[in-house]
Amino acid sequence: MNLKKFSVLCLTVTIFSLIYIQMQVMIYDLAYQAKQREDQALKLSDNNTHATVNIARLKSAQNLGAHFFDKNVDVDFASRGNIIDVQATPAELVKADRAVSPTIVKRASSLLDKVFGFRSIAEARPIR
Amino acid sequence: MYFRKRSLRFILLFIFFILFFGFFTLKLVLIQVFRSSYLNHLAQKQQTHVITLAPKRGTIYDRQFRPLALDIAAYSLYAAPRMMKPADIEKAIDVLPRTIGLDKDLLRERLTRDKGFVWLARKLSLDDMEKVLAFKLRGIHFMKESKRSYPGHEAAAHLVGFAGTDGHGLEGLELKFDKLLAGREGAAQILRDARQQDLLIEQALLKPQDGFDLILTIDDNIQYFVEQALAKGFQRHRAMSASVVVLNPRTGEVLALANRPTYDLNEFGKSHEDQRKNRAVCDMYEPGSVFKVVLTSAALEKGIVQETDKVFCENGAYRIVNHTLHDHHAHGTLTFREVVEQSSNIGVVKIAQKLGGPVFNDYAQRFGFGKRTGIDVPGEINGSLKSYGQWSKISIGSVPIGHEVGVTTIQLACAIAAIANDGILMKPYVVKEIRDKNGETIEKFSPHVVRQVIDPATAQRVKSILAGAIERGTGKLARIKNVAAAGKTGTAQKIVSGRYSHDHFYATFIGFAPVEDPKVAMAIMFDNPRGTYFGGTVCAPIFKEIAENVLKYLQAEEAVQSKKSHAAEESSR
Repeated sequence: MNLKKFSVLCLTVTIFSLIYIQMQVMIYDLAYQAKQREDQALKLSDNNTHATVNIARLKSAQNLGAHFFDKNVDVDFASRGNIIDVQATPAELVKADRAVSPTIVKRASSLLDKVFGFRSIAEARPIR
Repeated sequence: MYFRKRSLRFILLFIFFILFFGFFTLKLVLIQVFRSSYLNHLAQKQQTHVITLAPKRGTIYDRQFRPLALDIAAYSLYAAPRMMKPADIEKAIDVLPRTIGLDKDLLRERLTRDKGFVWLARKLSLDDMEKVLAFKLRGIHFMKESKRSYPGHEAAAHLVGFAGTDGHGLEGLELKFDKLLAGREGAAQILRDARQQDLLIEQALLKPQDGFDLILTIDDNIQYFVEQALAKGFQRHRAMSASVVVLNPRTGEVLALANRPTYDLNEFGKSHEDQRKNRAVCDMYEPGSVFKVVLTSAALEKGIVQETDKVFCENGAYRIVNHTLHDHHAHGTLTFREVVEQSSNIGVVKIAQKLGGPVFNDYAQRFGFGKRTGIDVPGEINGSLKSYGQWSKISIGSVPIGHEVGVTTIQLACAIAAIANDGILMKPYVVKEIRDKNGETIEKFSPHVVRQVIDPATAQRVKSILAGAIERGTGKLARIKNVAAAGKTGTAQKIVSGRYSHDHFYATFIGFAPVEDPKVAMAIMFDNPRGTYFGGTVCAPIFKEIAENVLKYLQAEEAVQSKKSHAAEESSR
């Protein structure tokens, strides 16, 4: 083997070695970044759990009761007498309401009908 | 000559280089061939290590899925004294006591040890950790652990119990279901860098199995009503102890259970044994007149007596062998109904004598006395009910009126619940369901019928008599507005220094409401209330307060649930 070939061989091996080392370093670098992200995610998860516990504590009957049902506060549970049951759907309620207070039914009419007709009541209506 | 000298030097140099390279070749062969496995192993040990992955402990919920016990992250403070200079130690001793309340002397002792690792404080909060980190103390570090948190503090303390510093249950349901709540540890092989910091590369992994969640029969709102009423009564009457159990009589579900004294589950380390005792299941006492429900039920079932039959109550004094039995108020002739309403001891004993000891004892056993109810909390005791063979000649004058017998509050609650439930005795239970972290049901617990104690027809008659006890009898302070309730009061002398005391009493009340369709049954016990000591004055008002609030709440809940199901039906159409 002459010197030239030997040099080329050494150079090639060196370059590949450097590339390999660079990739290894990159892998470790990504691992560090991932570790950082994991730590951030864990911290957020821990904060979430703490918030959950605080919410549970604030929402608990013991805490709400201590605030709302203290002897100085005029708040009490609704007893049977305070509850009114409405046995109807919203649509039925609207229908019932209309039945109680009927409105004038508007009919489609021509200009002639409006002027010479007797069906509608002549009245001045406010401009809306 | 010159030529020879030159070739000699050359040869010597050549030999030197040969030896030099030969030495290194040998060394290389030694390392790469003979010692490779050992060195490999050493490198593996330095670069990787196995860490345990802690499972998440299961959460304990009430029946509405409100958390009663759950895990949060906690930060345990440790020091590496060997890595700390004297200035670092002094700074830590100056800062830590005033920041997180550590003892100065203890801190100094720990930081001056010749060790690489010492604990300083376990399971601190996030706030405390951030306060310490702000000081950037050298040699002081935090290790993340998990800690049990109880948002309700004292609520259902004796039922839920607590887990210790190592995360294992030590009391209550935390103890009883510790294996299910704890889960199973996992493991991972992690690569470390030159600074021994873990990298996120896992070469092998065993996934941890998180603990299962418990869903209880307890309702946090009902528990609140009970805790409030009990706390007020306990303070007012300055009793030694007290307990309340509220059941759903149809299913045996425990809706609430509270004891006094009590403690904050988040600070269990500051509590003492007396506060941690679950008295509702492990304290036994003579129940007094509440035990008359057994005689009432047995006598009506066996047809020994009718409600309107007349009983002469001896004007308040009745001789049994060599013992005189007294009534609290002297009565002449009462109907059987009135005997129970007015709680006449003499009237009850006379009926018991007609009924007979063996039959009475059989009914007492059928109601569950003298035996554990089987509730799924630790520490329950049997109580005490002598067999008829162990009765003395005067036992017929004691046992039917609630003496010479030991009961627990849970047994009393189950007995009155049986009457409310048309004579069917149900097994009480606290854990409704066990689920995994994905919400899948692992195990579900259903109501369990123990036995039919009395006929439904007899139960109706007993209900009517007990309703009268509240309307006209000793339980007037238990009356609930617009709701018919039924119940029985009890006042029993305590045994002090081997004799019945005239100064120390147990006050009890058992009852249920509404009479026509019972939703709640409850037993209340106060040990040694001061001032007034009657069941009718101490416990009956507490029953009224709890029952009123619970019934209103249950009504509102029913209305909300029916609206939800109605809305769901509408939307599915």
